[in-house]
Amino acid sequence: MMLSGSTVSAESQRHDCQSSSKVVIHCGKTPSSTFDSNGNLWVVFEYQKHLYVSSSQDLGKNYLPASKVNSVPETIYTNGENRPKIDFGIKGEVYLSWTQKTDGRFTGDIRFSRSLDGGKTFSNPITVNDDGINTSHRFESMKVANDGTIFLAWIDKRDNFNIDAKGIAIKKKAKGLHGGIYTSFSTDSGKTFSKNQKLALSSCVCCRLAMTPVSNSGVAVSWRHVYPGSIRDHAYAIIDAQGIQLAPKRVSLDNWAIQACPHHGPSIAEDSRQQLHLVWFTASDTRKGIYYGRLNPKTEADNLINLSNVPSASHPFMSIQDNKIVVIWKEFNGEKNQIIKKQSNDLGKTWSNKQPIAETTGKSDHPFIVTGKRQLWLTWLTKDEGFRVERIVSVDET
Amino acid sequence: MACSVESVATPQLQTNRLMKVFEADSLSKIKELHAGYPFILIVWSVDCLPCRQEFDMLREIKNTYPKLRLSLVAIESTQDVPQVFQIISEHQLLKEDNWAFAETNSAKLRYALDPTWYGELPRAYFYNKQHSRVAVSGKLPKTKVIGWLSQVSSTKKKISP
Repeated sequence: MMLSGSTVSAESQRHDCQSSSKVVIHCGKTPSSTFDSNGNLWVVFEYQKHLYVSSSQDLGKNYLPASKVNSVPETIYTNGENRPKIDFGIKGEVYLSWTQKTDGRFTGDIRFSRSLDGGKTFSNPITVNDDGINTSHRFESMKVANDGTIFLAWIDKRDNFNIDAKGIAIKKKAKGLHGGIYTSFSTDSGKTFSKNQKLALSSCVCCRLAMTPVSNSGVAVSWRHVYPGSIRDHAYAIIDAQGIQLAPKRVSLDNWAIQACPHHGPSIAEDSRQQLHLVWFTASDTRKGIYYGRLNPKTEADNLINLSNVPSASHPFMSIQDNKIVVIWKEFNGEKNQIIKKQSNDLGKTWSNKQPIAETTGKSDHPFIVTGKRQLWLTWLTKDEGFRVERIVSVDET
Repeated sequence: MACSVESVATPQLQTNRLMKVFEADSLSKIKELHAGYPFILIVWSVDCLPCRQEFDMLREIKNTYPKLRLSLVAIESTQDVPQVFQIISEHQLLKEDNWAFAETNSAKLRYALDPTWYGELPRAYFYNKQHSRVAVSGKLPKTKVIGWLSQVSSTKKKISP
């Protein structure tokens, strides 16, 4: 399952973004990455109004020439919280989602494309939101469930409009309208998508969603919600192709009452005992910084731990393998951006101290963890060093 | 599509003249500009809807009380995000003291602005005449700004909403 062509050496391209004609991830924006079942690293990134997909057989040292996804240029959101996504189908299909910027302010459409030939060519993008309203459909998250169903969830503002007798969308005059969380799924490898379904109303409108496959089918989704009193605490839900299996449930009582844009979404993962875990950012009167908790469908999340209360601590990401929970996030120490790690080897009962695992002086993207070859890898796009792929810990390490 | 050199050059020149580049030492320059006067420093982002709503409110206040001193700092660079200039222009705030980050959303510049800030937007800093400041997160209520103006105003004249 490899792209054809000669390899592109990372070193020769990394600092040549201005004059090089070759498209390479180091010069792209807001990448996402994942490993295939053969241990190859796949990346999707934006570059000059196109999405590109590239793969590496040597953990990001070298990449095969990138495949262009959309032949027609389109403006693609690359603002950190809103980035293109990549995932594999159970037969090796390559699936992509992203948010297209449409006319007007804070507007967008959810886009999808797939490759059925190992990433050589990609289908013409389709728009997944089905309301036909020029409004915000943005911050999509995409995951392939364990049975191969593709799930998409996103922030959607269609319910801020009434449709008049002529079928024209008229914005409601009510104050305090927020976003909705809408979903769609595909059971035919992305050929068609279901009618959009509403999962929640009144979500915050600028934070990424988190999504993870659960059990045999379905996904858990988490987002920053807006509870009465403009309280921006998190919620989560579980959906599958039959519908909502766990209705939206408030994660915790941080009680962060604010009319603001945190631009700061959560990260979710399930362990092998089907327990969901969440990491998130909050800045309420009583809780500030990055938090971890075990999600509970009946009560507030338990085992709440403040992983960091440093003001610059941001964009946490979590991965769970066996009994290991690894959480990383970014901090600024006055001189450099650092990636900080905390790890639990007993599913959250005890935790290591904070440990810096990477740093950079210049501008940098959000950090992520991808799992491949029985290792957990930090993936981090930085201005000075390009797209970094660095081993965090072995899955088998005790 | 052909573009004349003039039409490409003019917007950039306009932006450079009207929006200063915020770097690590820029806060001191902002304070120098307002030396001896109270002012409000507003931090905002192109992606922040409440920030735009706050701009509408500030514009309203300025229409009634033009002596309100403002410095507006966008956390995006105009090079990456040209809409920064357009948004300020749309909200008729071009004549204010406008800044845009040298690099979009830079942790170093946020730290230089305020090392205790968790990054939420909008963020306002109310500086009194002596330039000690109070930070406020979230969309500012109009009453808060009016109340502050009444407090810091050197005249006895009542500030009306």
